[in-house]
Amino acid sequence: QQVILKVHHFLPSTSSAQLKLIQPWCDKVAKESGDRLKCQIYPAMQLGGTPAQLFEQARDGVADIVWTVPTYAAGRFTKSEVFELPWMAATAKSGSQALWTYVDRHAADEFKGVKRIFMHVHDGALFHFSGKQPKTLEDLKGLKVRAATRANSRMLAALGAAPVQMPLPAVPESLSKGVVDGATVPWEGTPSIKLAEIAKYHLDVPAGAPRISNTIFLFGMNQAKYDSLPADLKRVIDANSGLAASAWAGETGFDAVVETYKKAAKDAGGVFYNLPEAEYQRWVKATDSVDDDWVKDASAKGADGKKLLAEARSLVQQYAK
Amino acid sequence: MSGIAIGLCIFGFLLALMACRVPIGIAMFFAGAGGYVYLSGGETVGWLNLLKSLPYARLSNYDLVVIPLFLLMGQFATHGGLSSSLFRCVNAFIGHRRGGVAMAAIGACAGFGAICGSSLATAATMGQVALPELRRYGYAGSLSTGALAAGGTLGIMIPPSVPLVIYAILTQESIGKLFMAAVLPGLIAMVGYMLVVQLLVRWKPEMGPAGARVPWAQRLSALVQVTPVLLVFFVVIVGIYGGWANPTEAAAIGAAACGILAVVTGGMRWRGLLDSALGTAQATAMIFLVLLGADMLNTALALSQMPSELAAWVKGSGMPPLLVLTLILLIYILLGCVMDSLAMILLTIPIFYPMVMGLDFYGMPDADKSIWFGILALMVVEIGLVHPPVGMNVYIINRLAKDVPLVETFKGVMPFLASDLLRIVLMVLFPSMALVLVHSFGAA
Amino acid sequence: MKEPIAGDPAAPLPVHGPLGRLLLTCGKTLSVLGGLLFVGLVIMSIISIVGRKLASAPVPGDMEVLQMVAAAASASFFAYCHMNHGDVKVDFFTANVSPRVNHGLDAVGSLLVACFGALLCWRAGAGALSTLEFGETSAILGWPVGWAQLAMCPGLGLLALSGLYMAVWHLRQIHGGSRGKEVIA
Ligand code: NA
Ligand code: NA
Repeated sequence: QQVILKVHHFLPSTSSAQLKLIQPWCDKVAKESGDRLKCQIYPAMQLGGTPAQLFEQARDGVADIVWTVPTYAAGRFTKSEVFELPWMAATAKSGSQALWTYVDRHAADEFKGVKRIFMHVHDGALFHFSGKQPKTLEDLKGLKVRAATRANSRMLAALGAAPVQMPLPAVPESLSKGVVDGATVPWEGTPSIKLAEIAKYHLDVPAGAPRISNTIFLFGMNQAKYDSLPADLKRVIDANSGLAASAWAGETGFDAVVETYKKAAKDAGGVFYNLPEAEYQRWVKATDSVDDDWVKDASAKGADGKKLLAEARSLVQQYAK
Repeated sequence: MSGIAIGLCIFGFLLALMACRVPIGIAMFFAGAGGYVYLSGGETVGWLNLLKSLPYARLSNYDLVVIPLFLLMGQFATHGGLSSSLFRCVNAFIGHRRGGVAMAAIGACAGFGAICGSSLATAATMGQVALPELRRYGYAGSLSTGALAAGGTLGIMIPPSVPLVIYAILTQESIGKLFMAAVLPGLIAMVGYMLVVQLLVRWKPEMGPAGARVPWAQRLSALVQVTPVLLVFFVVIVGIYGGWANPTEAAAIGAAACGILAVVTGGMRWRGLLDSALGTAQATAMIFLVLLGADMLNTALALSQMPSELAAWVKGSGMPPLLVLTLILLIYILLGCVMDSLAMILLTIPIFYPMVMGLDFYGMPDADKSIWFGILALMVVEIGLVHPPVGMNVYIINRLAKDVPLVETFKGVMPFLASDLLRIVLMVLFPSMALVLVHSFGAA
Repeated sequence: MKEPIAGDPAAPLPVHGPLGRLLLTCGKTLSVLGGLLFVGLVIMSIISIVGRKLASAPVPGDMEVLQMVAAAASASFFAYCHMNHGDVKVDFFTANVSPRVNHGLDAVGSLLVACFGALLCWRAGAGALSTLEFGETSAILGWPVGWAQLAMCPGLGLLALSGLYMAVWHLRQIHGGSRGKEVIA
């Protein structure tokens, strides 16, 4: 008896999310179940709805499995959103493991109805500018910069830039037409939009420091679908879930590709600049209000925001070792 | 059952519903729903849950908002009398030539098309303005109605264009690039129609006598009056393509500009504003109802995996790409006999687009192919508006011209249809007709 | 693409009784209000573009406001369109069939429209309630998305009622149609 898993996500079938995470995971469970678990992948929202509705679709059983950015549904995953605050993780592997453990301990209620298979962050955003090369907080003032998430948007505002929220595919055209001066995008996202050809100036944190911002991702399954599986198939899913799977997603999906994409940017004539330590500390200081805003949001939902933030940071530290 | 077989069943059910006069959007919805539930093993829970997200996902789509905004722009243009000043202007310059008034009507249609996203609205509006003039100068009934029915199609050929917006949304293509690509083929269409008029009056001079000559002073003042229209077009297209406004914002700018023009020069008041709001609402409702239905249908088709299986099959069959393309275009012409342009785009693009993208045409990169096919599809669905049996433009114009029999109008439109077909063939052979402007103004 | 044509002389003028006129008035009011909402969105967009160009200060959250308002406004257009015979349909195959048969088919069509309206009203409402329950908000302004979803329901509900009314109306025309006049429902 073969079980078909409808996997729904919002990127094209050629995206690295599908090629490096979703498809390999599907192949692995197919192999380990003797082809009794079979994925049918529906990319680019083919099954209807918007990316923000993907989590709800997994909860409702419209799709069996989704890969999504839960925080697209703003205000719903406040506790998990802590990993989208500035200066959290230096690598995707450490951030993904910390995210998994943190959600397991403190935010599992936000994902009720969905079995979390793995969760991950990306390799951390950095700035890419086309015409200007800002190096200090003062240079950044008034520049229009693309923001990826709500927390990212707040952070850019705190740094004095003018955040413009737009989806990733809109970035190249907006950059080349001067709608924005720069964009925050992780290395992993640069090849799909040929960003290195348009934006030559890459501004990053000091080597090894926590990156400017991040986004959380969920690969999760409809709980009822999981519960309906026979015990041996459940074991196959379980064996490919959890902390180890999250570490794998962060590492193979993101950390492993950074050097290649960096080199491609260098070959395209890219100019790299890492903030000196002193300037970096000024940027960190400038964004304190973003942390405070999140603590307020979390406390409004009845959580101890201060404690959760400290816990998230210490988990990242712990897995970074 | 294979995906293709299930897909065909869904289409069969859909066509049966449509043939029985069920509104197209509703027919798509229920055919899609049937397919979806069947593919879910008869389980309706998943389907009902999908419906929780479907309407809001569609109606809150940011890009889609350009459609009501462009429709609003066209409504303002109509209620503000921009159509008559356009016609007066073009007529002042070329009306005194033989066949000139008909050519002026075509030119004015193109001008109106530049601020209106739909073909029928262009045909109807320009028909009301130009038909009385054409008849006053003694133009043959067939030429008058034929020229206007064909000219009306410039409403969607020249951007902004509602079917192109739909194509862009279905294929995640850039609205700005598609609009830019449509400019040159649209202008070529206009010139082609004017040439047809020229040939006709050379053959039978009595069909289109010369109009009155207009002194230069009057010509210039007529030109001054339409400058705002050209300005609006320029702002919208250049705004989108130049990147300082996204399509939705550009449409808002266009609507605001036309609204101000309608109030200042056209004397639009509260009554006109309310009529414009209602007209926009009605046209939007028609389009969005079809879109909601198409969403359900396309979800079911994706679930059946028919589009990808079909594309893989076509790619593997070894058929020459140009033959596949010709077959696709013939299917469009056939569908155009019974269906309207928007429904055709919604129904076929999810199937044909992956097919075309999987084939090689002149070694074109994917980005170019996708734009080229969009313009081709637009051109071929647009001729469905003028060919028998149910060319909607022909009906609209014919209703306005009470003394011209319908057969006469269809006869009158034939030479224009010939120029359409010729243009489509040229477009198939020379994709650069669509791509040259996109490339020369593209991202540097 | 079909569109209502201002002053189209050949457009049929359906005759309606008190219930029909009430539904028409409701539909028309919703349509005009929705249309005016779009006019309002135009004004907001202009302010936002000018603010962004001149002062790097767009209207905060202009995109999400536009999306939320557009959804509610668009949903309010459908009912009047259906009662006005504005649906896009294929009439090629039934052009030469008797008006009675056509009215019969249209009655079925309107009944399906009613089902569609009722179904979407119900599901959109259910979706709105769960969005409200989980406190999903827009990204920048933090407005609850559920309210925008809920605002689609009146228009969809009215579409259901209008479809039901028009189904009965067409059924009555089957008898009236044979006497060559429209019957007041
Ligand atoms: Na147009
Ligand atoms: Na037709």
